[in-house]
Amino acid sequence: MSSRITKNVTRPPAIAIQVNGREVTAYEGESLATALIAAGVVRTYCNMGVCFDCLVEVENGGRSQRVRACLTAVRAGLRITVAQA
Amino acid sequence: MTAEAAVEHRDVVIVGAGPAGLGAAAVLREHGLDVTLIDEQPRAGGQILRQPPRTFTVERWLSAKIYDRVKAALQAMNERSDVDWRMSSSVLGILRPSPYRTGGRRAGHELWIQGPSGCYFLHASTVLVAAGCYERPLAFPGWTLPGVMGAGAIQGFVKSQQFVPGNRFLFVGSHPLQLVVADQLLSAGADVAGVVFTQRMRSALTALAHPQVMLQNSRQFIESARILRRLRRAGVPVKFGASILRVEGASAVERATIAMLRPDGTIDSDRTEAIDCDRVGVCHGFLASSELPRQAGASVRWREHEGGWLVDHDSWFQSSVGNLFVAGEVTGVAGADAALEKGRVAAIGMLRALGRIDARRAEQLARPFRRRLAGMQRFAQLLHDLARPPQHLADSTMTGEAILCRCESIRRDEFEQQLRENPHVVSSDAAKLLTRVGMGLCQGRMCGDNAVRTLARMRGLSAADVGPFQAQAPVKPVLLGVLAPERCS
Repeated sequence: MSSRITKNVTRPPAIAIQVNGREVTAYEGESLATALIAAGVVRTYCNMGVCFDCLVEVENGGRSQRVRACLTAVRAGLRITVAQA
Repeated sequence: MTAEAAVEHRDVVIVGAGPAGLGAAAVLREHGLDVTLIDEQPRAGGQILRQPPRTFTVERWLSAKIYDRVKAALQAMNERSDVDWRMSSSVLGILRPSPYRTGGRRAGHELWIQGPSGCYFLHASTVLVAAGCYERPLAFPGWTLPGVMGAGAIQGFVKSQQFVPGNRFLFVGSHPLQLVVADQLLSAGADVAGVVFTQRMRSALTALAHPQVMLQNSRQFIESARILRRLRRAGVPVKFGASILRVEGASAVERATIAMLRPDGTIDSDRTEAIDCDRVGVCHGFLASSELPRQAGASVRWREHEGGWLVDHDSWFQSSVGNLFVAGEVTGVAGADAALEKGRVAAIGMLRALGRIDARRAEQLARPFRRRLAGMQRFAQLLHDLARPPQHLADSTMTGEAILCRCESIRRDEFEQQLRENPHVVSSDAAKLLTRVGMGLCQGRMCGDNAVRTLARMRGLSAADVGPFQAQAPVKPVLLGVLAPERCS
């Protein structure tokens, strides 16, 4: 499994987001790609906005949009839909 | 007809807040120019200095000495309130100014930008594109399985996100960056299954042993030697003269097979080794992000081992398009320290072009930057020779069944079959129209390099004859819902 580094790192308090209907722990400000991989959902190839492999649907406050997970920051309450491979 | 809102005007807009963009911005601010910096990332620093999120506190962040020079450049500019930062923003195109939007202004450029709250235009007298580079993909059976990533992609997670994005990592490639990433993962407590170099140990050592190079770049060499020692102590196998052959797994990476290379660089498929791992980091060098200058009409040249399509420029880093400057890796992949100096020279060039300083003063100011740059470029040249994969490696790992175009799921044999049936197709663009290779969301960034080589080889032409995919605005896909929110909600 993947793991967040804790030595010398202070994160904000953990928050919950939803990935394909499942509740997942994440940290505000980290990238959606990080939160997804930590939840076992791997869609990243380039991690810099070039390949578009990590395109996911994000819903927040009634609006939904497709974004690159590697360039999008986690906020509380996000609901993410990732197409099944 | 309703009058459109006037487009905002800026003297200087810099695309890319990495070392080149930051170096240029610092020089321009010193001379009193207003500077706008645009970048897709949420924070400045570029890929070399992917900063942690603002919500994190990280002690001793990137403390290795190899980052000292660029870190100083970042610290000098980071979050400064006298710079107009436009982060998390993509430049979709550099256009000729529309007389309808810019109040009759015809000089300069109009930038089409997608920001966090939508799309807009910005008019600039002078534009500097310092868009950097991305990792050169190597295609092989299984490279589309979840878990295969760029080595730099893995490093981005560690540097910025403070996150180890897997359990057991194998690195395969020809670029020494993979040593640095393996080492950073080890320090973070990860399991590294191995680091595999295509080069033979002897040829690498011969190149490294050049005395002048050793002296001038001792920092990099001492660091590499230290890393090799740490990897050995941790029991991580470092292999030379081998290449990735394929990756397998039910729904994600479970196993990688590497093969020894013969002295002539061809793959010896009788001498293979299977390695259990859940992540494979591919490290075969970099491709210049030259799409934006190409879209703007700047001329390019093909340099196979220095970043593919590089933007032509004069001694002040002005491209073939007036008032469009380029710096950093888009002019030739030479590393972050060189990018910083190129950005500084380009800034002097922009000051000169804007009439802020005369030619003599410009030469005087640029001299120390140029001197440092010359030394760094000698090192970069050596690194290119050292990090060069065998001549036909990319062609041999991409077997017929391997996916060539990830976005459209097109195999190499399908691409070649169509080209054989249509011998009149001799350009990348024609091949794209015929086969859909390059038509997906990445706009050819993942397949372009391999498609160009394959087509060129089949037709007996050079890459320059075949040409790149035509870059068009928007150079990154944009949602209709973003362009016309009121009509698409």
